[in-house]
Amino acid sequence: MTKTMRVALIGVPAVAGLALPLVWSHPFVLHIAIQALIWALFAASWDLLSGYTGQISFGHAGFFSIGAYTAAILTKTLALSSWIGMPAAFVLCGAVGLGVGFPALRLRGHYLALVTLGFGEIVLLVATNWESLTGGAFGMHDFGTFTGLSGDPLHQRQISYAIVAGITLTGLAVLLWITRRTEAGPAFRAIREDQVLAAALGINTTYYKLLAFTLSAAFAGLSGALYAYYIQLVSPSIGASSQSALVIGMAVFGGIGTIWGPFLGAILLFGITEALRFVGVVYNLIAVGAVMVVFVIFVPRGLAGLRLRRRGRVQRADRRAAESAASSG
Amino acid sequence: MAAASSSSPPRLAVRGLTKRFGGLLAVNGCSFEVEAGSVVGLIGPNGSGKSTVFNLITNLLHADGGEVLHDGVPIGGLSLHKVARRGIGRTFQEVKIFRELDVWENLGLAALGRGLTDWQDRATSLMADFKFSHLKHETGENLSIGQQRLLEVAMQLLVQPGLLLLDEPLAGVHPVVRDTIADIIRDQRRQGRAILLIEHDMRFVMDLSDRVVVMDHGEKIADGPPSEIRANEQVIEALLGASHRPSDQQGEH
Ligand SMILES: Nc1ncnc2c1ncn2[C@@H]1O[C@H](COP(=O)(O)OP(=O)(O)O)[C@@H](O)[C@H]1O
Ligand SMILES: [Mg+2]
Repeated sequence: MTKTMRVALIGVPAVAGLALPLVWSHPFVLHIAIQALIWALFAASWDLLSGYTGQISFGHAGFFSIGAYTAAILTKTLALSSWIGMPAAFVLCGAVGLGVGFPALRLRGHYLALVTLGFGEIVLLVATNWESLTGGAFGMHDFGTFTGLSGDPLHQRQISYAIVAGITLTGLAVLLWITRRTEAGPAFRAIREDQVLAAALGINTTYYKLLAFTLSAAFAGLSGALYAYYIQLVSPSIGASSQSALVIGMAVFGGIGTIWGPFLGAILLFGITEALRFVGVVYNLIAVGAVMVVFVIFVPRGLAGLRLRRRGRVQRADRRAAESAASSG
Repeated sequence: MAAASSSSPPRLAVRGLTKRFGGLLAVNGCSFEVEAGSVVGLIGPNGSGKSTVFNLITNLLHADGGEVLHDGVPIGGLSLHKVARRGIGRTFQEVKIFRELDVWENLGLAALGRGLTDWQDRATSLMADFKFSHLKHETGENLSIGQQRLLEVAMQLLVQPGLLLLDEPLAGVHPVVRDTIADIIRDQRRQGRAILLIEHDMRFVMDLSDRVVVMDHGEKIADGPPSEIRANEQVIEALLGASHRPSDQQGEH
């Protein structure tokens, strides 16, 4: 797998998909590109905590949901602009992430999975039952777009596309900067690899784990707010565990622990799902499920892992696995 | 012994350290000291509690009794990373490196843990000393056990902790590199660092150590200069006795 092929495989379709609305400003194309970008930021946020830091979250839709409700409530109930709603969702979800991070500090593996799963379920229950705040099972709708203006739907979508692309790409840049250019990046990886060793070397694992929870939840919340302002409907189901599962699937598809892999993977997978709608709304999901299964089996490191393959690491690992299989069998 | 000090506290003082695992008294009232600029060997049969002492000093385990003083300051309440940040470095009996990261990234993380920014030149020369310059971009899991062990030691030497705890640094290491490690330990000692060394290779320990502490069944049974320890009947009994018990044979090498 050469670098050129990698770019061809992930970069070209994803970036082409993103840019498509620029040349073909069709409402449906815009609609898909906007949602794909929202999922992309969501998947990248999951990757920061789970792929990069190794703290696997099974309840990430909980943060997305809180972000979406924060946006809806601030704008509908308090009549505040989206430019307040979005940072508010970011900050509030960061705080919630910090709160979830504390009990998660001492937990690993299955126990951490249970805590995050439980968190997602709690958000779902609260969203369903706190009717005066959230509108209950029906949720909230028509609370105002990004600009607060209404008008020509195509024009609205073009504006939404510009705003969502600007924010999600900035979010991606920030996440890449944190992981590649600050001390937090290597510290996160050290925690993922071996927490005891990380601490024994002097790395403040408590601080960095809480930082990962906080940042990851904040960006998940921001993507939830983008969803709310674009879709104009927030209901408990956006926090369902199937949403958490989908974002994990997207990240695995793209290649976890790379930030950009899940971002582009989500775009590609969302695009595929929507493009396959013509085969029927159930069949397209089955098809996407099949794509994900194939990926988990044959490209366990995701699309981004194709890069590692070129460096030879995976080949060595494969050879070792083959050797041990041969010697044991 | 080192020129250090009757007035200033020792680099490391362990006082009455005790640890139970259920019914097992793994460490029982151990006391000893390591002065700056000295090497203390910690020996004893397998299961005598040596590694547990390391885990207690670094707070990976919490003691049931006794205390650990670093430069006269009790450190029992500190978290793992704060112990390291005080300048206490260690290696593990079961080699611990970041297996999915390459050699250079491993060294970088050791530097990060202590907040070192200017580590690259030193890391390069350490890799040359240990003869794995060519492995700079090799992933940890692709190294041999001996190379992994050397990397682990190199990560500590890079950050030059004032107190260094080495748990069987020679296990699995090629004999060629043995002398390199000995030289490096001597060099560290000369630079005023305190080293506590667990090692089964008696000649290595006796050659390098200013003092040797002997443990058996969690208790300290002897503490003195190598010449004295070599002649100590109880020590010979404990070490030979253990190696002659069939169940412990694999441990004596
Ligand atoms: N985490 C632990 N839990 C239970 N028992 C332990 C643990 N660590 C060590 N032990 C026991 O404590 C005793 C001392 O072990 P250790 O300190 O590793 O000895 P040494 O390093 O001298 O070989 C052994 O009997 C060992 O089985
Ligand atoms: Mg041991």
